[in-house]
Amino acid sequence: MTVSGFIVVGPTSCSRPRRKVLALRRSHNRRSALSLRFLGGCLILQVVQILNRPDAGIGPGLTLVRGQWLGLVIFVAAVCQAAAQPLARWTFDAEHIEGTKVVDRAGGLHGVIQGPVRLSKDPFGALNLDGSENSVDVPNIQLADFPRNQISVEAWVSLDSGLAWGGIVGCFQDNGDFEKGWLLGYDESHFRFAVSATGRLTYLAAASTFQKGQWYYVVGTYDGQTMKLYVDGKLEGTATDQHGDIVYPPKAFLTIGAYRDDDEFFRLQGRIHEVAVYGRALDPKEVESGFSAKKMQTSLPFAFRVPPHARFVTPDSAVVTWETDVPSECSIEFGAGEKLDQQIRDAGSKTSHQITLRGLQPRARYQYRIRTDSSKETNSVSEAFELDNGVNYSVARVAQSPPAYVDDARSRRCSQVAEQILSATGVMRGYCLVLDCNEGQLAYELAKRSELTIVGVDTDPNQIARARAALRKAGVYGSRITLHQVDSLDALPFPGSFANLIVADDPPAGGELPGTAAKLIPLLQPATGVACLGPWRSATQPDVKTRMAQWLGEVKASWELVKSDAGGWVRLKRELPPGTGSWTHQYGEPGNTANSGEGLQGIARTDRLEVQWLGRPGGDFGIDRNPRMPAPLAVNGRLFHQGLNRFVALDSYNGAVLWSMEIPALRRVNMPRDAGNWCADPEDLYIAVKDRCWVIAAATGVLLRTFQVAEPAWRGSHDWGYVARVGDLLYGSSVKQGAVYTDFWGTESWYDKTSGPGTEKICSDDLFALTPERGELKWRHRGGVVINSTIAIAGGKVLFVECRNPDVAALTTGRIGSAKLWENQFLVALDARTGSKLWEQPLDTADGIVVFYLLAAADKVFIASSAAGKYTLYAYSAGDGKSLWQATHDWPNDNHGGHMQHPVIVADRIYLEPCGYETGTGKLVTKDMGRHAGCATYAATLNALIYRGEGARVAMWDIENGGVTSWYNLRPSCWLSTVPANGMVLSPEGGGGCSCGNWLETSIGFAPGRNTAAK
Amino acid sequence: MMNLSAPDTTATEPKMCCGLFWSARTRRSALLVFIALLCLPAARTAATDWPTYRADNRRSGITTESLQVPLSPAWTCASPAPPQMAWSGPAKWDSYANIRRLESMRNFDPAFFVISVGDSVYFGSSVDDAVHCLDAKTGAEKWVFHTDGPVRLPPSWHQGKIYFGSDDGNAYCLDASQGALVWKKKPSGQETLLLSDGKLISHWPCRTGVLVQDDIAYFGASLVPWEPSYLCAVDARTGAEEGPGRYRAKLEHFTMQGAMLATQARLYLPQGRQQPEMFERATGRAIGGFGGSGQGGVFAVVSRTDEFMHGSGQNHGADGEVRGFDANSRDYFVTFPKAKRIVVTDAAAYLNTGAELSSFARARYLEIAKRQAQLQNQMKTIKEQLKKLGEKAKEAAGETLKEDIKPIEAELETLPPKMSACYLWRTAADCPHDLILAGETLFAGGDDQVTAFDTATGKLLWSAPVMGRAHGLAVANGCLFVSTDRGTIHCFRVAAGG
Repeated sequence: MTVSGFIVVGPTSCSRPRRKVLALRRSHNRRSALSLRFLGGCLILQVVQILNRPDAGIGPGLTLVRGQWLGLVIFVAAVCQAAAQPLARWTFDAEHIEGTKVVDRAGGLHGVIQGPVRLSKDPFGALNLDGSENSVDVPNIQLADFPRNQISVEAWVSLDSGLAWGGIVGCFQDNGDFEKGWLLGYDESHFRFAVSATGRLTYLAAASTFQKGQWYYVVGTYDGQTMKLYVDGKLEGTATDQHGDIVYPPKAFLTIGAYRDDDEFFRLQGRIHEVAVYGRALDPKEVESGFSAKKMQTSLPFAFRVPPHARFVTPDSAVVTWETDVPSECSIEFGAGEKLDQQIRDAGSKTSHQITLRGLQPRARYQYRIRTDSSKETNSVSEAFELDNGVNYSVARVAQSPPAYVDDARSRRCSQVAEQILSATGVMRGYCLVLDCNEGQLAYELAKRSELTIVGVDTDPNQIARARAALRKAGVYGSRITLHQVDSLDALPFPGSFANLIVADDPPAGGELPGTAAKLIPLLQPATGVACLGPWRSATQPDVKTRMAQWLGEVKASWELVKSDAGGWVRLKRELPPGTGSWTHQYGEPGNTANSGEGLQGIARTDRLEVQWLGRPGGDFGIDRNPRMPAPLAVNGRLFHQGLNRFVALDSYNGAVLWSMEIPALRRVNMPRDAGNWCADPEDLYIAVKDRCWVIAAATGVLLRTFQVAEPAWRGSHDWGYVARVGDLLYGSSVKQGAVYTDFWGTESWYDKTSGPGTEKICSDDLFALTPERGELKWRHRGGVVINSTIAIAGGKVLFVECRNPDVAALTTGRIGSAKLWENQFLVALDARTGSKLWEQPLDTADGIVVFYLLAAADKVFIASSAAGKYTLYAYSAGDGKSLWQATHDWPNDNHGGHMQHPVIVADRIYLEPCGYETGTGKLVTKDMGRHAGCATYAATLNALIYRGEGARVAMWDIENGGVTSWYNLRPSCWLSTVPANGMVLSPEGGGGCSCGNWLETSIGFAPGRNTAAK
Repeated sequence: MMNLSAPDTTATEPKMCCGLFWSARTRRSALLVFIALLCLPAARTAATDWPTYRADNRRSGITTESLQVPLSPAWTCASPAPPQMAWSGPAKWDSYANIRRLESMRNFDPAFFVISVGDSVYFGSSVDDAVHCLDAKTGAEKWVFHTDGPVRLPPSWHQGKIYFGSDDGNAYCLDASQGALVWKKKPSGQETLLLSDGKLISHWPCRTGVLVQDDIAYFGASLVPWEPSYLCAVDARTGAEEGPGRYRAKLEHFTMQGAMLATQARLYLPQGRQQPEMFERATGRAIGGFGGSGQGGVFAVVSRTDEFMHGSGQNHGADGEVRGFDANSRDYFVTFPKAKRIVVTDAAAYLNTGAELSSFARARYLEIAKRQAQLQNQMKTIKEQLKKLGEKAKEAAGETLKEDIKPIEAELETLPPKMSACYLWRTAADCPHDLILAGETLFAGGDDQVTAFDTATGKLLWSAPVMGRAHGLAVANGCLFVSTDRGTIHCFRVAAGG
């Protein structure tokens, strides 16, 4: 006779047993077996007796002798302990990873790392997942043995980016109506837990948003009735949609570090320390204790007041700067590749920190992270940031030894002159032209004291030869100074506007000025360039005036005499040619017209423009095709261009890198659904980074100050969204944290869809204006939800579209795809100086599912809406918001940006591919404007549109005659990277990464051509 | 200025000059060479020059000279700044297509490549815009010649003269012994220069090097594809472009860059991010390109059996590749994934993929590869035919076509094992930057090291540290020269007693 009794630990409704017998004891008259079964997630102690005697047994016939009771008690205790254990646990540290195998510490479900095995150096232990190449598969799973009526899934995870569909660990299929299994994952900003018991997956989202780079303990539980989601031990969501057993698909992947089913495979970017799956629902105390057990090991999230940024200062060093909320002692750990094997401490407890990393190797890629004093309880460590020395464009410093020249009177005089020139002009970067450079001493002394690249010219070949020899000896020839022997100073073969500084080695003490002004002054950079002529030791002011007047003749230039110890210096500046435009905001100017006002000397053809400069940054600077990233800015002779978490300041006229900055938190993409993250005025650059706007000196790259979003209560929950600089005010908006698009990996992050993920609009919860010097709040507007792509400033008004639907206002995200965004809309005009409402009009446009733009010019406001195969343009009076006209036409296509083009306004025409309309009447003037080819959008000069057309190259459409010309194999970014400004067409590299073509992948500045003879 | 480390005065390896150049040497030199020859150990292969980029105009990277390893460092020549490359590095990734590790397609100037003839070493500098001549024995500078732009490829030596191009737009000819200018030629004529990363350069820089064959000097002048390019063939002695076989061809849509190659009838020009192009050597007429869009790259070699191998185009792939074509018909026949360099001899080919060095029986392997390409083409043709057929026609003719495919598929399945069987050896090697063959020894350049492998077995024979990535290797007259991305040139010689 055989009977058995059960002592049940945990849930009992289990299916097929698959646990080995733990103990087997025989006695003379009976055999008993204690077996522990793993039944789809529950633990059952089964005491089985195979009885020989009919009187034996307890309960349903189980009888134990004394010693057996004791053993049973001990065993039950052990089993209770075991019941708390997971079915599978994978810990991603060196101890539990063997090659690519990840040991299942609870059983036999070992994982296999697909792709590179990159273990974090963090003592916590973690697998670094790059979002593209690696994740962990658990092969040979038997879905029939998986938890059914209860489950808990826990993970220690740190995410570097959100995803529309992100997975930490899951076993599921979510393909159309076929929804089965479970998933612990995340979206763009929230952790999520999904279970399907009813045949549909319920995605339960956490209430709070996650911070990138921060460690979290995330647990999802399901007890057959209720789903719960915990983050860091706290309950963050509950759902009761599901009930009963979890349903599994016939086939699924068990994947860690990815959202994976038959149709999707989106990999996680970040780190995973541990993942476990339980066959029961953990209770809140267990979750809390799970968090407590490890929370100290993870370090606290690093509380930056201002997140770190790095500046390369020499080819082998970089300065990293950051601010902390509270005074702290900090250190930086850094190293090449995956290593973090060097540490530098920043002595003293303070809030503003700066550390110089030295010994950087050429073209090597580094990582660094910041740690507060590890001896304190508040020890915290930041995520690791990349520092790529391959994009270090700093110039080599001139070594003091060996000196190029003997220390003689001439040398000392040149040294003094160099000091005075640099002091008088303040020009420290870019190109310096030294006329009559003789044996190169002045060039050398200027190079020693500045970051200038020196070009020296002389007519005497022997002087040039001696100078080259001396400068080679000092190790500076070619790297900082190059010399050219020329026939005449009046026939220099150099491009116009190239020199930031022009000086002459032979002083005009006797009244001789170098060459001919008409030939030399055009070489001067017209925005900030300075010619410094002197010293005039004996000349009086009237003498100088006379001589300068003679020398300048008809040349338009302003000059002044600056006195110094050694005499006077003429400081001369060139006049900016008329018709010179600037590109200061995302679409050229704050009105979003995509027109810089650049006249380009009337040129409207690519073949009348010539390469003025070419070079860095190249393809290694940006994100692949710069996925709909903010446009470059160009103003006052400087060009600013964003890449992958970095930007560079170039001289517009000569391409010299003035400075660059690495800001890990900079990235913003998908401009068609957002506003740009930066703008510029002639002196400063304004960049939205996290919750602040950084003000940076355009000439030097020095971070001058930062301002937080206007509402103090929102400084932990909102980021700085829109940014504009108009008149004497700085404008901004507040966007819920985690809303802006930053993802760039995979086809989804090309943002080319016609609806759904990636087309949601980034919206602000307020608008405000500050003084740009002190950050004093001038006004703040809070109404509904403002669509960022509709904010424009023109004619003293701030114009935008605001949604006042209460459901939209109640959303916890600022990335809004709800259909209700198109309800309760108003077109609003505020006084730009005071913020007072001038007018508002209810708005009922076609829903801008694809894109929704606003432009303002002269006395009109235009809205462009795109959806369902159509573009619709609406025109309103800027005076009262009354409708003037509307027009609808078909998209050119629904891909490669054909459905999301930004309109352009030129004079009294507004163009939206393929049509042009009169702005006043809406009359159609063309259906055949230059047609785009590829993913970019349009920019305008006064005479032409610049865009990606003809052969998918950068092209120009001559508005006057409709002619199209293009630069062969020149590709822009996938939005707007070629802009007309500063008298040029500026095309900083943005298309690099497209592995499909022959694209040139380099930055270029085009100017009206000179080399027609050579062609 | 190049800084020179202490020369190894003990290195007195006897050497002989290449027979090719005897006529140009003095009797005294010949006598010394003869004496030196007598002193050579019987097993040592005769010393030879390395007169142009990768040894010859087919850029084989092969010399008959054998160096007995181990080698000892003789001298080091260090630039004050690393090479100022013409272009930035490759894009970080193609994130849209999920491709990382894109290879640069125009890294033709990562180091100061050298040539060496007799007792001189020559190299061009992208830092100080000059060509330098060093004493091969000591590394001491003999002379330096400045141009007005970066010199990105090494000179070619020909009959006592050296030839090279500069970003100033000129091709130059100098007297090799003194560095005196013989002639210079600028196909674009006078022009206004442009600015590029701290330099003033021509709109038509000469970035192909100058190749000399049959007393004609060939070079290209080219930069951006929307401007015309120039392909020139001039008298090597005078620079004159008049005369038979000489020309100045003006061509559209080219971006000539990287060392030019030549066979008897053809010129081959790498084009950076555009695919390489083949020209008629006699006329400069463009014949056609190798591969398609995205298949650029500046590494190229034409084997003695007229296979044109080139890389590293990205072609929607990571880690680069070397692709093989018939050097005359331009028919594609093979791709070596991840390959960085290939050296091809009549008997064997040596492939460097960065992680692995391998050798395979050249003729047999390529015969199978060509058959494979032929079958794949046949299959493609049939499939295209099938695609074009209407539904009704498909029923009738489709079956026949499908039947045609079966034997092709069957044969194709048999080929990979046969190709695998051609491999003579494979060995792990972390030296992706260069590969040359000197006698029976392969030298490979890695990160901070240079290594030597036995051609017969793939066995690692020797390695030595160098400063930086070893992109340029050359063997000449008893020396191994290693050029790195730090601007350093290392000279190694046979160790004393070796």
